[in-house]
Amino acid sequence: MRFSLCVAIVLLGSLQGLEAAAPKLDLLFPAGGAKGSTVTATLTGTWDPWPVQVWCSRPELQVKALEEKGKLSITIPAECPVGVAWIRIFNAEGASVIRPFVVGTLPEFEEVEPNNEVAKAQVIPGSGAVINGKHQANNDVDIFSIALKAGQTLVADLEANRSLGSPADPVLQLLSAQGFVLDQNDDDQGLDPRLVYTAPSDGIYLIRTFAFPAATNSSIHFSGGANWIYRLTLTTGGFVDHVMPLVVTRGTPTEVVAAGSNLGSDPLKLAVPVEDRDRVLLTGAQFGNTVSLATVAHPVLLEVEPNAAMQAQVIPVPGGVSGVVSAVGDVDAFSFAAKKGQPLLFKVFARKIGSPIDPVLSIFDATGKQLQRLDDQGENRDPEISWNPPADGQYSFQVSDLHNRGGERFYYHVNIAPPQPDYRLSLAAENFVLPIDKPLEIPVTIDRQAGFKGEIEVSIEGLPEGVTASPVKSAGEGDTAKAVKLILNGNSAPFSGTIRVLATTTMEPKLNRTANFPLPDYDASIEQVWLTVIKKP
Amino acid sequence: MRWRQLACILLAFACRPALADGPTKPISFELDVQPILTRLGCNAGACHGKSRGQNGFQLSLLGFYPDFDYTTLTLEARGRRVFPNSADESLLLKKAAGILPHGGGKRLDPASPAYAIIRDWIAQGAPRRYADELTLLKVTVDPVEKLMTRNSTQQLTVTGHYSNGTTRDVTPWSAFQSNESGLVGVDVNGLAKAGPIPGEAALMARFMGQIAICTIAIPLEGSVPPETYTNLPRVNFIDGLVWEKLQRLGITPSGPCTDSAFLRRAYLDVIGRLPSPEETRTFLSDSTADKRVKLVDTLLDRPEFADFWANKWMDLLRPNPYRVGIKATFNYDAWIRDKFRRNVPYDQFVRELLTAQGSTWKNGAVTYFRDRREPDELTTITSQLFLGVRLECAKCHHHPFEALGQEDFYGLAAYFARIGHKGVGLSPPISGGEEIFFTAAQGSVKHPITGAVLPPKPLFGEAPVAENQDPREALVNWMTSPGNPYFGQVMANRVWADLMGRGLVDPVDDIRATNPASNGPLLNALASEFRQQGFDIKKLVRVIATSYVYGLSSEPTERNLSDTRNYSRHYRQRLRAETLLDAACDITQVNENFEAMPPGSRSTQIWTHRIDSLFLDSFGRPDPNQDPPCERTSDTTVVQALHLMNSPALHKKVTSDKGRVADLAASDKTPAAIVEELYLLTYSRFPTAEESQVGQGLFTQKDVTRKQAIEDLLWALLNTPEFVFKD
Repeated sequence: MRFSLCVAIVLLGSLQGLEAAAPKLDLLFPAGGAKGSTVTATLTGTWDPWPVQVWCSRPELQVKALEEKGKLSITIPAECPVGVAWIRIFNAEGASVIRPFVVGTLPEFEEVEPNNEVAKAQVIPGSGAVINGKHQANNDVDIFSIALKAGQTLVADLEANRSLGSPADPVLQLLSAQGFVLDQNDDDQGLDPRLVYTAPSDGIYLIRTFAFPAATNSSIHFSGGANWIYRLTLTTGGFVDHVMPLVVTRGTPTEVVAAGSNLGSDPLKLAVPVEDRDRVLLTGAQFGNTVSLATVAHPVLLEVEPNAAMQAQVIPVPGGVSGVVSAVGDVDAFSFAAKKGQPLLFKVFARKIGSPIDPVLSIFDATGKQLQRLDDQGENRDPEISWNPPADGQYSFQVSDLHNRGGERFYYHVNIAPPQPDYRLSLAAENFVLPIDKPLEIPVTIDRQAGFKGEIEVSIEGLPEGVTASPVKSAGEGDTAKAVKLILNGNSAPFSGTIRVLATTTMEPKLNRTANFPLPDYDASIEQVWLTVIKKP
Repeated sequence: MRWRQLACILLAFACRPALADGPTKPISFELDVQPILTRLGCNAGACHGKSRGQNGFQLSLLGFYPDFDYTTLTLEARGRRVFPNSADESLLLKKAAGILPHGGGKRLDPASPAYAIIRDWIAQGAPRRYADELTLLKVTVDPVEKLMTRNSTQQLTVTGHYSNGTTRDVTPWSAFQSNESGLVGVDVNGLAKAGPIPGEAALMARFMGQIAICTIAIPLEGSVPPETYTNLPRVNFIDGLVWEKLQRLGITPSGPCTDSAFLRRAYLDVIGRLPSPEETRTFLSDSTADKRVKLVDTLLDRPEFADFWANKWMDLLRPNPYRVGIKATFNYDAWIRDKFRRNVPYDQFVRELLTAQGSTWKNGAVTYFRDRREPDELTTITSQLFLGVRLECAKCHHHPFEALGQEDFYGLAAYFARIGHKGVGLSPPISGGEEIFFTAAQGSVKHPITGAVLPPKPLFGEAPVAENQDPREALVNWMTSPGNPYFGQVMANRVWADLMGRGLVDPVDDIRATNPASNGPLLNALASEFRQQGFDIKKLVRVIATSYVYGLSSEPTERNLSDTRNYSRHYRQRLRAETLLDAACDITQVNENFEAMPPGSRSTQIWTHRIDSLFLDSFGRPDPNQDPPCERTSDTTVVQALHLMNSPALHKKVTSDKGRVADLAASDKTPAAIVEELYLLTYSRFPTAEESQVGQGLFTQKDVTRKQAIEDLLWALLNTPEFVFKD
């Protein structure tokens, strides 16, 4: 009985081996490269046959499978925009999940083991670099060494959990050449650490990293694994922590001022490119990292001190204001007009854009009476509230830190606008396969916001010839209000490629939206999902 | 034995006058009746004074709460305890006199004046107070200070001082206790008896919640010429104050220690590691006069200082990661180390800790509040750690050795009433969530018996909470203010104990009148110096380590042999577990590999006692299964001796193919040079000619390789007290 089961498994295995399967991609490493370089990336996963085909979300990158199994060549043109590119591998049977590849500006190095002891620290040359490394196994410790001059400020920024999908909760330490800890950070940007250290004297300094698991357990040891990758930026050059204002008005030429380390004595002003996108990315010769900025529809102001309770700064509605709780006990106050029966949506952006502040938002009437005080929104530290003004008149709101802390990094942005009825679409997968002689269902979830009741028509863009999917409608109420299914038919020719699920309102005002798939391991989502049409036998 | 004691008590009552002069005079519950109940032991912790009373009858412990006791006696048990109409039928008297069965036996003779007093009080209607009743203001004891000769006796007299200016002899109703009963005992009647050993003791007399202290000194017999003391060196204020005390007791100090003993002592005390052979050679060959001071200064600048001193504080503060979470513990440790690395002044360290706000993942200090979640838990630990006042007793009843009651305890607890928290609380054994602490708008603490909301109130003095102020800030302002002597004293005492082998107050965190410092003026001077130097711990260490007293030899003389509290010689201490293990690693050049620590880490850098180490556990590292703050043990045990002799891990270090022994074996050094190197490594001194000869002899044994000879000698040296102890 046992024996025959065993044989069956072996047979099944070999049969599967004969038929090609969709490739699997567990890891792409290094997960980034510098502009103007060609990177050979190593894939971890399964594929048969090799070479696989490769799709990249950014057409500027030239990505191809090399002859050697599991290797990709990624050429990054010198003029390539920075930021994340998403890469997936595919064949006629289907596609892998996507993995990030970050385009940066600093020279990049790969971590070389063994580098777990002070005496074996990996020397990093130059004044700025990105190291692609791994917390590769339990108890792994990585050490890098860098030379600093007295007074020089080093920024060490480790990116792992927030954007590379690493299961790590990493720690950064800065050590003297003798191995004594001088400074340490566990969490700065989410779970990822960052250190800014000014050397007291010339010499060699060491940067050490190790990790605990982000999903906490009860074992007391450092953790690691094959996919615990990180990108460690080490630079004595410019590094932008944030820019002011923190968000910009979409489609309007704007100049922002950068704050951070080693940015020079004069304010560093940066022109924001005019793009019709939800986010814009900034880079510059003066700094080594990339700044991501959200765009909004309404005007954005900067906080002007003094703006304590009695000197509230007047701001327009709808509008937004970026400020900094700059000192211990600092409270920033803003005055605005509101009308009874016209609710306003207050949205604070702080913790989710990397600020250490724990923001508290309070709303006051003209007499100074507190009407609302808001701290967290569930697990979200950034307050958000739809507020109904009790009467026409002038009101004010205040922003402060829950712990009365303050400092130049305690930045925040507040948006105030009437709640806009709107909707968002999301998908449950990033890969779809239309099989032989069977239709494919793609479920679409609809999130209707601020009481949006309009009818929506959902359709697919990018279907190959011969494959059809009738647009489906989502009514304002009833079964289809929150979810619909698109049904794909007509398997006529093999196909591999991206599709997008689009939606529009059937009545005015026209609101066009694209469905996305929220990537579970990354603080990101993708619209270009994959469709494989399997060829007929 | 017991019967004899009881007979004594009853006899005492028979002989001494009653507090009230006769049955016609009104008898006071508080002034007359309660002292009898206390003296008879009715309200003792083993009888009706325990928290649930005895057989349904509960009195406040030692009679500290008269209102409570009065209610119990007159209103409870359906009024059967006292019958004013027929006083002799009262349960109180019949039980105490053994007429009715009484678990505590016969305590009161019906013919005694004490019986009469209680009976008359009942007959007078058992009033809570009579009109114009006096109040006891304080008690005094006579003598307050006394020099006694060996084996002599001294009767103490306790006097009550009342609100109308009158006094009464309350000796028969007072309780007595000695803090050093081996040196000076005191019996139930207040008769002090000096033992055969010279030394000092504090005798406490307690009457109705009031305490008075008599300090007794038994000087060493024989006389020492005063010039002996005037001629002693005085490098700083410490020396003069120690000499004064020694002179009072007729003790003379030992001579100065050798340079090598000082070197080893200073390294171990300041940075917790041994000097390298090179460092030892340099110091010993240095002939400049101030080389000891220079050494201390150099050591204070070493990076090991932070890890060594932070490690001590983590004994006191460090929580259990399985309770509060690994990340919270890791960040708490990082916070503490950072403070010592930056030599943050001690008052600021305490302020930042006690007023900490924010996330357990970003500001490790808030783990203090994650671990101790309730105001009463915070009160106990805060008071003990930072004031040296052990308040645990006063949480449930009046402190038996202090003028501190539940009002004091919960008044102090009220400063911790407004600690808000959000996020994820405890969920042992992982507790991995992030928790955020902040100052809440509201919160109060209630008296556990009366239920009254108690406003924040310090143990003494004033510490008002301003509007919009975190009450914890007001508390820290009070703790660190010049008017609070305890704050500086307890830390000065801790550091003194670490460097000198024993606290001026011992245990180090139990400062009270009934446990006085062995040298009160010195403790005050150290605390005052600490404050004047801005609570700089390094400066405190420096002033102690550069005193002449610190550099005394540990060799006793005839005139200081029995002294264990007055620093007439240096007191030897076993090395701390971490110091010993790090020394073994440094000497053998074979590191430990700790879990959850980078390779090459020293054991003083470990962030939780939960990191396994048989060696550290054997040598008294605080038990991770105990709730902190638990004391680390500094005693020596058979386990330790056996561990040094038999531990496979230590054996591996000594016999490793890589490391010191292998390198020495492979070197071209002569056996004499190798022996010298090993002595410098383990003892921080050169071997004597005889030691060298014995050591070299090992190399000439038959069938013993050069490496084995080195291993044998090193193993032997590691197993000697000279290695294990700080001299």
